[in-house]
Amino acid sequence: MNAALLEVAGLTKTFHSGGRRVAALDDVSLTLAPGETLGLVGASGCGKSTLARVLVRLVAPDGGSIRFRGANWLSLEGAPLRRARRHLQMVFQDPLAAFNPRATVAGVLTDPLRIHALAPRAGWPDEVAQLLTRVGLPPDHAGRSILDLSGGQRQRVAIARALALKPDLIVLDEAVSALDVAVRARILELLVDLQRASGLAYIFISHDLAAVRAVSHRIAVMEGGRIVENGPAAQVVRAPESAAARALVAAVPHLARERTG
Amino acid sequence: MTPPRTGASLCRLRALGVRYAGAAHPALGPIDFDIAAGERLAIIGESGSGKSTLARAIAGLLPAGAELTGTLDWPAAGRRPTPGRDLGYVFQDPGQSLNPVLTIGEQVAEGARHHLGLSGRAARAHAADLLTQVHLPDPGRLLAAYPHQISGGQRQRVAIAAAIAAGPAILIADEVTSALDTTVQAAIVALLDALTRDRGMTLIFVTHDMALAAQLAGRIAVMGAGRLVEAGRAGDILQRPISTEARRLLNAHIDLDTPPLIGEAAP
Repeated sequence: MNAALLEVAGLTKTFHSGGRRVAALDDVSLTLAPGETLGLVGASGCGKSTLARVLVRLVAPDGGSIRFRGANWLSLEGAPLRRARRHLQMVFQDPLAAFNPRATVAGVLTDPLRIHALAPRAGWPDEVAQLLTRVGLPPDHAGRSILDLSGGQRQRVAIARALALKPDLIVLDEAVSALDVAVRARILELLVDLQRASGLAYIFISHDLAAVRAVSHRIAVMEGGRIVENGPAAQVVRAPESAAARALVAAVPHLARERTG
Repeated sequence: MTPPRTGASLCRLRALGVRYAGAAHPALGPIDFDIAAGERLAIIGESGSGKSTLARAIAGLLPAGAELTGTLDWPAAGRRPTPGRDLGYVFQDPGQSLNPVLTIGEQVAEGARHHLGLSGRAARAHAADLLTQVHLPDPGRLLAAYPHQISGGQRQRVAIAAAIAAGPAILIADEVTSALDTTVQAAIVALLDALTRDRGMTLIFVTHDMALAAQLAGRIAVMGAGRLVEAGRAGDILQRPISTEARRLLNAHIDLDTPPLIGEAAP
C-alpha cells in the first residue's frame, strides 16, 4: 500500500540561451508517497521551476523517466494525457497571471468541472459553493470578478480550482511567495488542513526555507539543476550538509525576541 | 541639506492624511509622528495598511492628484528635502524602477551629475565607485550594461547605488527585498545596513517582515488600515506588542524555530 505516487529518475533538461548551454535539470531523481509533502527549495535559477514544469508536462525533458500513479507519465499523449492531467494539478506564484482577468470565481471553478465532465451542469453551483467553503471563502464570492479579490483570496481560488479535480498531487510553484506574511501563514495552514482531510500529496516549491519547513515532510535542496540534498525536513534544517542548504538556512530572517545589538 | 544633528527632529507629521484622486476614503491618516535625524526606523504593516503611502508622502513622491491634509514639517533642515539630493528612495521592483533603455552607468551617474554638478567624466568615475560600494563585480563593464542583462539582486544593488549617488542624508527603502530570493534578500539587507551606518544616514525601511524590521531598525512603526497603531523600540514591540496588528504580524512570522504545521513523521 505504500507504493510511491510519483517516481522521478534521471531527469535532464538543457536550455540554450545566447550560445550558452544551461543545464536546468541534471540527473534529477526523487520519489513521493501518497499524502506526502516534498519541499523543493533552492535559489533563483537552480532549476526548481523547470522541474515543476516538466512534472506537469508543460515542458518535455531531454531524458529520464517519470512514473505517476503506477504508469509511465511521459508516454501519455493526446486525450489520455488530458484525462490524466486531472490527477496532477499546479498552483502558480501569481494568481492574477494564472487566471483570465475577465473571469468570475464561478467561471474559474466550473471550467475544470466542464472540461473533465466531473459533475452534471445542474450540480455545478453546489460544487462551486463546496469548493469555496473548503478553501475558506464565503460561497457568495462565486459571482465576483477575479479582479475584485485580494491576492490571498485569489490564491485560495487557485487552490480551489486545483482541488476541483480531486487530484492526487498538487505542484505548488512559489505559491505563497507573493503574499503578505499574515496571508501566507493562513494559506500554509489551509494547505495542511486540506492534506489532512483528503490525503493529497504536494510538491511545495519555494526559495523560502521557513515556509517549506512549515509544510514539508521531506525537503530536497536544488542547486545548478541537481538535487544536492534530500532528507527529512527536520534533519535538513537542523543539520544541513550541502553548501546550498547551509546558505538557505543562514538566510532565513530570524525573529530574535530579545535584541542583542 | 547639511547633515542635521543626531536626535534632532528631522521630520514632524501632524494630522497627516492622504487621499488619492477619485478615492472615496483617505488612504492614510490622520498620523502624528516624529522621525529623528540619524535614526533607523522600520514602517511595518500588511498590504493596504498605508505603509508605502506614508513613505511616499514623506518622500514627496505621491502621484499627481493625491490630496495631502495636515502638516509635514522638516524642523532640522527648515525645508523639504529634494528627492534624489537630500533623500534617496529605493523601490520594491528594480525591474520597474530602472529605465530599461539607459545603461546602468547613465542611471547611476545621473543623480551625481544633476545634483552634484559633476562633469560627465567625473560622474562616470563616481558611478563606478558607487557600484564598487554596493559590491557589484566588474564595475567598469557594468557601466555599459543594461538592466535586463543582470539579475534581480544585482538590479536592486544598482537601484541602491543610484539612490545614494548624490550623498543624501535620508534613505527610504520601500519593500526592497520582497521581490527577491531569501539568500539575495539577506545580502541586500546587510548592504543597506552597512551603507547607512557608515554614512550616518537616516534609514526608513518599509516592510511586512517583523524579523527584517527588527534586524535593521532601532524603532518600529506599525501601520493598520491607514493609521499608525503602535510605535516603539524594536525590542519592545517584539516582546510586548500592544496592537492587534503587531501581534498578528508576529504570530504570522515563520522562521526555522517555528513549530512545523505538519507532524514530523512522513505518512
